[in-house]
Amino acid sequence: MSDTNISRRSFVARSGAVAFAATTFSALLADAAQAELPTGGLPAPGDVTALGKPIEDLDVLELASLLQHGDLTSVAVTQRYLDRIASFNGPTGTYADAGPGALGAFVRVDAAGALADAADADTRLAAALAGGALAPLLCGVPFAVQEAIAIEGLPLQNGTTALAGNVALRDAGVVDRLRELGAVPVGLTTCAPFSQLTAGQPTGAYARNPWKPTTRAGGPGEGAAVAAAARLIPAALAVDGGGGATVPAAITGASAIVPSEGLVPTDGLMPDVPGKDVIAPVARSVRGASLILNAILGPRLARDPVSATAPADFPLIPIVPRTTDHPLEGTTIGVPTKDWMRTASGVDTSSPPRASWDAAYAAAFDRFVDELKALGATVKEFAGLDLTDTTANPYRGSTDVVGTSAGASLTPEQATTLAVRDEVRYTVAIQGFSGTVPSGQAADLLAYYGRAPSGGGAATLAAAVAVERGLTWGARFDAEERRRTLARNYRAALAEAGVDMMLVLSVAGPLGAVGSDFPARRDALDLPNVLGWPAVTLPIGTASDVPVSATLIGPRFSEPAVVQTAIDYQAAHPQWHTMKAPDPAS
Amino acid sequence: MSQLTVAWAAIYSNPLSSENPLETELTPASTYLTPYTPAAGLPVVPNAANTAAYMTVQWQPRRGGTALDYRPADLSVAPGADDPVPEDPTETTPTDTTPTDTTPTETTPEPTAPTPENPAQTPGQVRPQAAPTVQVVSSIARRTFTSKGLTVRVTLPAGARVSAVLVRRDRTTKQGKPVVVVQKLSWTVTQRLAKGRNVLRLKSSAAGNRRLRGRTTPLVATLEVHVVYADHTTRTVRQTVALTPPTLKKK
Repeated sequence: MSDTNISRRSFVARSGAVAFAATTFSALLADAAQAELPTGGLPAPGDVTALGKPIEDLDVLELASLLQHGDLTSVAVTQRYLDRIASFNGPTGTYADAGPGALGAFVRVDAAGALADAADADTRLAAALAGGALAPLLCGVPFAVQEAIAIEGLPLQNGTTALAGNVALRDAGVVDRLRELGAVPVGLTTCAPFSQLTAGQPTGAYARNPWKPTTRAGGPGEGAAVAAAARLIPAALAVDGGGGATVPAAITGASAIVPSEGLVPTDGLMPDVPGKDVIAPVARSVRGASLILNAILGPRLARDPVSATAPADFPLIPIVPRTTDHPLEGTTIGVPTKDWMRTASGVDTSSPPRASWDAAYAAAFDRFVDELKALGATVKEFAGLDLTDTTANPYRGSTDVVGTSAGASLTPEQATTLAVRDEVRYTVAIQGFSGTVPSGQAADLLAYYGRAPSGGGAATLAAAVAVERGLTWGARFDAEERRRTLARNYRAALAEAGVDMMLVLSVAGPLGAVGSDFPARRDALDLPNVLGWPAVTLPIGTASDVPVSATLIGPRFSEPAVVQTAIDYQAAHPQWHTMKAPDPAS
Repeated sequence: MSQLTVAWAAIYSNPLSSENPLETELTPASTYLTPYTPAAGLPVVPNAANTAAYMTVQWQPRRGGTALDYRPADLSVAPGADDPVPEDPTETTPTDTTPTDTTPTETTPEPTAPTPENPAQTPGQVRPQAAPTVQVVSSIARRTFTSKGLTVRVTLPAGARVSAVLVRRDRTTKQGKPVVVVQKLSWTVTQRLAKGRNVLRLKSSAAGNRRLRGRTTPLVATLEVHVVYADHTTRTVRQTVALTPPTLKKK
């Protein structure tokens, strides 16, 4: 890709000014971009049926092809998935570990609602087959969302009993868009309490890794990844605030796309790491996740102003592989040598990342690199950006104080997070809610959201609100500019090395038994979220009967190139993303 | 030094250059940057509930936008290698067709390329359709409306069937119960319009003429534009239009 400089004026015209103008003149601007696939993009139904796959093994595009041509009905597909959930998920709504005999991927299932929506989709598909208007590609395809994304009428507790009584009053923007296209919401997938714990196997998480039931899936969005990998749903939406979707996808062998910040509206999402949370589609293939991403991206001006900062008329994100022998020719992929790993002894900056990798994982990675090269890509090592260098990185992990609020000294990351927390009424809303719940539940909320006053004493919600409200513009601007500086420096590091996208091994060894942490993982799992960049996680092999996955990370809004690379790989080497995790009963 | 961005756009009508003086245009968004020194000690604007909450815990959608840099070139996909030039089959000899790659045991079906015999299959919609952009004057003289009609400019992101009508809603009571009486002030125009900019002309209906005749105060009506896209998704845009009486002349 060429390295075109952009002036500040033109940048502002594309982002800030557009956001301002769009907010002001929202009635005059379109609510979402629209795009049509010129060739459909779906595999031919005859080719799909020739594979002889059962319904649950079909990926999103294969399902869509059979639904569009009347070879399957949405009711039959939805019922099949509901049956599998009933057989393998275990009880729902328990907020407890599923145990090794069940998957625990769903916390709530709306079977009646799903079948009703499926029947509506069938009516739409039948009308299209009868010569009426064409149905959208996702019409009739079931999907699920993490229990932090609102589906109207369903309780929404973000993985904890502390939020019992919280009910979604309307659909989140992404759910609204998928419903409009005829996709069928089936239920809510499990997540770690408050969707907050990223690394290891957090206490209180519920889903089990289908490949190794004695372990978990290692991240807040694990229910979505497990549901997709275990064939309980074709696709799901997870929340990623720092690896929440990519890490469990990497462990379970699912494919996930973390979009650039602002590309997908986040209205109707319970704030976890507000300002860095993005909604990531997870499926059994990158092309399936890409079709979902195409459906949910685009500005939603009145509800999420950040979505106005994405380029208008965003190009179609590929769902079709290139069919030439060397589709990746012209693509340069860099493997960063200063993307440090974290082990039990802390962040290791004294040796290159791969020194901490499990030997079998390293072998799978090396083979993957060779396969990329065979497809025409140039893969090379490059330094990347050393995040421990405080000059190049004035933001992530910085201990500089950019301001104070209610007596608390704020680092750059705290300042940007607090600014957004104030926007979304992060603690104020909890304060109001905690007054309506039993005392024990209120105590749980206080334990999580409360903060000790600057003068000392017991934690209170009022003290937390005071810190959010006390942030100054000066601190916010300084912190946000530091974040932009880091992103520019990282982009410059890629440009200097002539690298289009980065390739990393997120989880570098198999998880141990429940309760143990990762043997080795990237320290900067939240890098895409910090930079606002996209990432694609895809399975690339196996080690000790569990999937090994890699993650491609590209510059901001490079989704088309990064997704195309992953799709081209999966088309040439389908054996990894079509692996089937064993059902718990078998 | 921080920068403050000022941006604006406006609706205008130029009767000298336009064929139809009732048509309006939207100026391109104008912007300029100005140096701005934020008061470091100034608190962030106090937040308040701005929209209906999504859930019982009344978290709100974001109100501001954090703009991060990007380069337009990053949106493009590097072209892959070209397909090899096909050789003349008369000059080649049959080769061994045994597959050399034995790794994949299950192939992912590739999409079929459209051909005249096998036309592009299911060119379905991938993203939800966008709302149309509707431009109309905010007020129009009663006499102009009844004689020439109301011009409505509709910009569509895709071809669609569009219905437009000017209505007046009056709240009243019927048998003690509140009801809303809808009166069409114009004929309903229903047309299949193409992608892009289109112009519709709404002519005053008989009911509209009766309602406006002799009226000395403005009548606020609602323009309703209902769009049905090819995939049956619908969008409705409503805008207010004031129908104004003639200006009194000095004797």
